[in-house]
Amino acid sequence: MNGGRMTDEEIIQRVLQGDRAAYRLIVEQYQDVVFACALAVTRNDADAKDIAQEAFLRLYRHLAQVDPRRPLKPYLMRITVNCSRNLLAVRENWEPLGETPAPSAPSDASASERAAAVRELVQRLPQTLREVCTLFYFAGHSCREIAEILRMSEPAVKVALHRARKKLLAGWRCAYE
Amino acid sequence: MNKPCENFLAALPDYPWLGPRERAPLDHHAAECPRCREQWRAAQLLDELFAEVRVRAPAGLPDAVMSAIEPKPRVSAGWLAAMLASALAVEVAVAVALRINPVSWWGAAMSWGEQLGREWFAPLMAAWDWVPSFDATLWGGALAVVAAFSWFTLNHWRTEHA
Repeated sequence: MNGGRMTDEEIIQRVLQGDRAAYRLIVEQYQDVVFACALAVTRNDADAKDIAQEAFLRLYRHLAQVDPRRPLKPYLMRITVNCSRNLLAVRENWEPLGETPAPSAPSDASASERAAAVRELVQRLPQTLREVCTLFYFAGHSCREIAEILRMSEPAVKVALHRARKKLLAGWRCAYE
Repeated sequence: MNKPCENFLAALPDYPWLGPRERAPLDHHAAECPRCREQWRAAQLLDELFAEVRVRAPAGLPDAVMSAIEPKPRVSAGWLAAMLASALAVEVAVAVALRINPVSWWGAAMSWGEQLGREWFAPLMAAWDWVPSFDATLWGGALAVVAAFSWFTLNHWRTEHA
């Protein structure tokens, strides 16, 4: 335990020993980043919620195969990205994604308006850049972890992040400066 | 682009994870190189913007996950037998209470239905002739009632315990 708080490994052990309710701790801890990641890929709240649920269910089913020596979060994020991509692949066959509307926060926007505008800017990025950007900024992963999650090389992640930043800044400056 | 600038830009994404010793050469280079300093400021601006962004999962996600992983109750054979027996008992009790002779009541209804059916649905009645006797029909009907009652009871029980 860390200051009374169980580690992921301890929670997993409890779940594997039959304490199913302990799994809620995992869900509550990671629900925001999993949802953010799913939202970044799908760009749809309802889909993101379904994917987040599916990702946690998949993790639960494969909990016995999780390597306790490695951090859980990258593994969970990889499941989330895969679920999201699968859904997107199915959707793109018959339902092209619509264009996301341009952000429209005023220049003297409040923090919440700026936050909404940033989210919109992220959603306008191409898929790979969206994934990298979300894992970096929302999930707090390093480039090396993102490379593992997305099965890319680390330089490729850095290039994607650099391109994402350029696009985000250009979008931000164009709209608000 | 020269080598120090390449190194700086390659290390920039990992800046938040670097320790003071690893940051020192980057900070030093940023102080000297206006172009890299601009990149660093841009990254800082984005860090500040993203610090304000909080994506929250919809309420109820943990409940949805937990209810999905809870094992669904299974109906035991004993429970099913008890429900069938109780359904049969209910049917008999209703018949006794209403003083209905099920055979005559059912037979009369079937005769009327048969007559009507023979006139209107001759092809269907050809299939009806295959049924061996009214007794079989009666018991078939009784079983159907028991099955329907059991199904509704079972469904209700599962909904209650899901």
